Amino acid sequence: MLKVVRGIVGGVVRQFAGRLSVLCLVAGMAGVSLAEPVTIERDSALRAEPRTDAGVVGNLAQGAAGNAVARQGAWVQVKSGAVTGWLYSFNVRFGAVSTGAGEGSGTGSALGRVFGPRQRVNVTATIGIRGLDEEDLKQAKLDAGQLQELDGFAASLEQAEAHANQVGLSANQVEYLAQPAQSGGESGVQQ
Amino acid sequence: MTLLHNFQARALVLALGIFTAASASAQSIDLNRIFSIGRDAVTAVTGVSEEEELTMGREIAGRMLGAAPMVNDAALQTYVNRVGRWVAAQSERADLPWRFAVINTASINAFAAPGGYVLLTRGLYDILDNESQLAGVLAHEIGHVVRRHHVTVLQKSAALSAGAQLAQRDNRSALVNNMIGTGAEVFARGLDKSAEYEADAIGVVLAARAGYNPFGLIDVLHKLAARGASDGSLALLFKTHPPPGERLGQLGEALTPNMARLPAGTNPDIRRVAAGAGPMRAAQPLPEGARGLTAQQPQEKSKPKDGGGIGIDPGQLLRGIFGR
Repeated sequence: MLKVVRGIVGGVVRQFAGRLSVLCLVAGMAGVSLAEPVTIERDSALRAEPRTDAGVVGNLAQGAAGNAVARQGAWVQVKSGAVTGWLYSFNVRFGAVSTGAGEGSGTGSALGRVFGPRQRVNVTATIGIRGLDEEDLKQAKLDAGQLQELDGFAASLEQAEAHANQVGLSANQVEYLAQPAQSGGESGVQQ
Repeated sequence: MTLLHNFQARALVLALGIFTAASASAQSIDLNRIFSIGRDAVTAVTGVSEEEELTMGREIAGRMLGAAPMVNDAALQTYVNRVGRWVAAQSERADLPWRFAVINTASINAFAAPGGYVLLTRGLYDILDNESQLAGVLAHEIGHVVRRHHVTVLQKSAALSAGAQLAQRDNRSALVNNMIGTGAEVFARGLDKSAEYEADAIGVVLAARAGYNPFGLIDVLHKLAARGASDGSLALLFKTHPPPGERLGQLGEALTPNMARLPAGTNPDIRRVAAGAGPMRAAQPLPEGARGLTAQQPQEKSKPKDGGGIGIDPGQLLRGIFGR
């Protein structure tokens, strides 16, 4: 059984190495700053800098293809043809797949997948764990011991604030966003 | 002890009270009253009471932990609780007894149960790059709790149980089975997409209030979109949620007019899971190896001890970013 796992891990590692070498070809010697293929999800202006008040250097229409060359906060810098500029990351989809509609069919590209895991994870530790499925959840019975353990890890407000201070976070005043109009949104969900 | 038992006991007590007060002469009125009691017990005026919510949430979270125990890394669990509590403190339900945990499963998902229980899978935790992304995921779950999305589901199930009480009030076990059976179906479509979109929008705002880069959640949604539905660890997530690409689209629509109002925030480093950490040893141990690191084959499922649960399917009721 262990051999099977080793085999799987080996396979994953080999595959991963293969992807890495492909990436290196694509990205040259750039290491982490990969050129990832993106598809434009919504007509967007490309800006010279990652700011809403920066000058527009070009426009990309929905469905256009390009490469993401940098990211900053909500912004991604895309090179498409002769033009390079910044747009909101939620207006692109990573991977060379077009539109959200095809997404359900699971066409995540190799590059997209590498973008996904950012593999500094302990592969061997995770790979043997069985996933949770609906049946597991339906069959699940309460584990009182785990609940007690969980209580022991609870943080007080003071401890939470101390953590925030320690990592340099300070609270901001930000209003909730108005939800865009939904089609058929009912079920008593408050807006 | 369990929720259902509570409700049944209460309905019984109330019904007895009514019978005493009104005498046995008005049977049809009693039926009406019983119907409304069944509904009121769960719904009250604005939803279940906080106490009921906590009882329910604890039961559901406990069951989830029965399916997948916490990762055996106390420092990690403490850390996640501090981050989560800090984010929750930015919400209008800051004072709930919030609990957060990383559970030992490779599936990529996160769950919220009523009353402030938030469970994040190790599979999801492992793909996070920084604390802002963690905060974004937790904030989405906190959004479900803050807006009591699960209460909506329970209100629907209450309507069901009231109907069941009318039809089967002399047969408690039939009633329980009825609730479990039909309840699951209701839960399966209990929350519509708008609740997920709403939790996404809240997630961005709570992370921003907490001082994080507000777009950690967006990064995570991109990761999920890039993996696609063929990724086995995402099976449950894709089954129960709008595709991440659609969620990005909705979030983009809500965010675009407001981008200038959002602070840039910071991206603190995230704490990694301790090397070699397995499942935390439970006081009520799971069947040997059932969810252990070495289990490569599906084990025989452990059957629930009896039918005396709360009649709520935690898998359907748990709300997640990634799980509904």
